[in-house]
Amino acid sequence: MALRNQRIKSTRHGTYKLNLPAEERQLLAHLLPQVKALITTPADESDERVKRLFPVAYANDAAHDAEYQHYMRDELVTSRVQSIDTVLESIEARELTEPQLMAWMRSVNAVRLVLGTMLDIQEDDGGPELLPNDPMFSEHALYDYLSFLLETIIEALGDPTG
Amino acid sequence: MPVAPSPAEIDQTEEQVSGDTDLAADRPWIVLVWNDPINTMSYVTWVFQRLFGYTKEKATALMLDVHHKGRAVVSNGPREKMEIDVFRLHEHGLWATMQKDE
Repeated sequence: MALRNQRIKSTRHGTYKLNLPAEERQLLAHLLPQVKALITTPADESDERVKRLFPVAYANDAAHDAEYQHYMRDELVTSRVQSIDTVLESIEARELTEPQLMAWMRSVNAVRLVLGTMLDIQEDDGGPELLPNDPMFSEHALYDYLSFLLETIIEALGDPTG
Repeated sequence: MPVAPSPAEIDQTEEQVSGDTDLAADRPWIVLVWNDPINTMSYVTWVFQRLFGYTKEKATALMLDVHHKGRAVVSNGPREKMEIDVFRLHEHGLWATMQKDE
């Protein structure tokens, strides 16, 4: 907890100090354009990662859903791209505004959704201990890191209604 | 010291008294959030608070419903408004759908 709070800390004037090491910033700068490409130019609409980022809105009503997607899909693409661009523009920042930090939060979670879908993460995936020779070992480590970063951001943002 | 009910509280009482049919006519759509293995409990709770202004207690209870029962109704109202709620939940990566409240 204490360690996490050192990394992103709210200031008295409503901004957030961002003490992330350069290699973590580089990692995000490397990952986010890949997610952006997946969002803006999906090779395959039936790709599970794309479906996870753009879910059905009307559960049992294909006609209403088609209408909804017609109007809202592009809005969601734009919103996700704007969030990612906000992170990339502030990737070296030492201090973030609240809207910027929220864009970081949504974008970090978008990467988790993509990665978690690829890894087929299951509920309470305590599972068997992952071995370093697992072919997806580094992806799992990355997923865990992003979960940690997301938690750090949520803690820094604090209680939204408090 | 007793506190006089706020106008909002009086409204709520009147709605309850007027019965289910009126409520159903006013609020025909519901937004459901479904359990998924990726979004974390703290994140889902935070998003419910931020988007809907729910207290930590209410947001946590809804999150736990999602987690244990597989889904929870997080919002209800006119169709156009529910579409916006679904959109905002999708923006935050939550798995939300909407349907007529039957």
